[in-house]
Amino acid sequence: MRDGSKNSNGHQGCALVTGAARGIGAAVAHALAADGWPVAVNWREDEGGAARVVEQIDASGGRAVPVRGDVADAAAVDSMFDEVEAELGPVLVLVNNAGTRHDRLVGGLDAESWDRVIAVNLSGAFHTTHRAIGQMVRKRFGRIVNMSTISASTPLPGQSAYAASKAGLEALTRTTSVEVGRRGVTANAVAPGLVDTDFVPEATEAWAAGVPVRRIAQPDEIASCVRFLASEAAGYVNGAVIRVDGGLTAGIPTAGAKR
Amino acid sequence: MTVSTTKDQLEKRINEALVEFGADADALKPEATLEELEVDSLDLFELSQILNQEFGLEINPEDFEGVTTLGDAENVLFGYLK
Repeated sequence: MRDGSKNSNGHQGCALVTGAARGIGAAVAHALAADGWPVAVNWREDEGGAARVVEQIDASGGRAVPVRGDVADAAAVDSMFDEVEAELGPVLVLVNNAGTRHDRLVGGLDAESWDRVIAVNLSGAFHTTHRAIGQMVRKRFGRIVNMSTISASTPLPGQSAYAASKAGLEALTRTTSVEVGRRGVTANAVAPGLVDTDFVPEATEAWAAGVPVRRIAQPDEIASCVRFLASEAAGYVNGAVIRVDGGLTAGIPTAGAKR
Repeated sequence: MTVSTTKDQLEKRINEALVEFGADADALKPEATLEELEVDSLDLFELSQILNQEFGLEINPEDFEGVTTLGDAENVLFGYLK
């Protein structure tokens, strides 16, 4: 990329996926690599996981590099972008997937935990978007995909910080979409329901009876939506929040009842 | 690069950028308002990006607050020349 050559998808730039060492982020990294994007695999704690994702993408004929950085830290994000841009070129696809949660009833949630959840899930996406958007605007192409959750609009008790951070992320998504849409840059959010990852250990098949499709999602089923939103074909999808939840929030939960 | 950048060079690049954004080249006069030129905040943001990449100028977007004419905007940007 440093020589200015194009990817197999015709673009001169890369994709950055935050929180890509495992789960949905790892699946997204694989999906974007399959579409010809060199992928920066961001990690904060799970170095081994990020290394595995990079190794697998390399083995599949793609290109990926691991990049460490806490998205909640603006200076760290700046350094991370310097590293990614030097290695893979400008970030033209940004997937803000890094997330954390700290579930407590609002009366028992400490301020430090609240601040951390907001800092990672919401401010983190601001830091990366702020850094990436100038290049996207100049290149007349950019795809920002923010990982929300159905909890942003239909939270469970205990999810005040998590739900508020993701609702804020959806508002950031819409605002970004109206600011830069005319430069070929889109911003959208994906709101998964129950997904088989260690981020939501309680999301097991035991919950599947409440989902219209009668199962929980695999990470690659969320990644396939992100892959579409990152593509040229999705150029007219802008400011959307797409629920990928098997219909969980489409109607009144029936817990498997037949009528 | 900043050291050697002149007002004329900067003005030339600003005008090129504004035309790229859709402004009428013949209307680029100091007294023309940004509204008349259909130059908005996104255009000014991108202009700042260009001047950063090409001339190394670190422009604070807040400096454009209250600016209404092209001449005013250029004066803000000339202020970054050392």
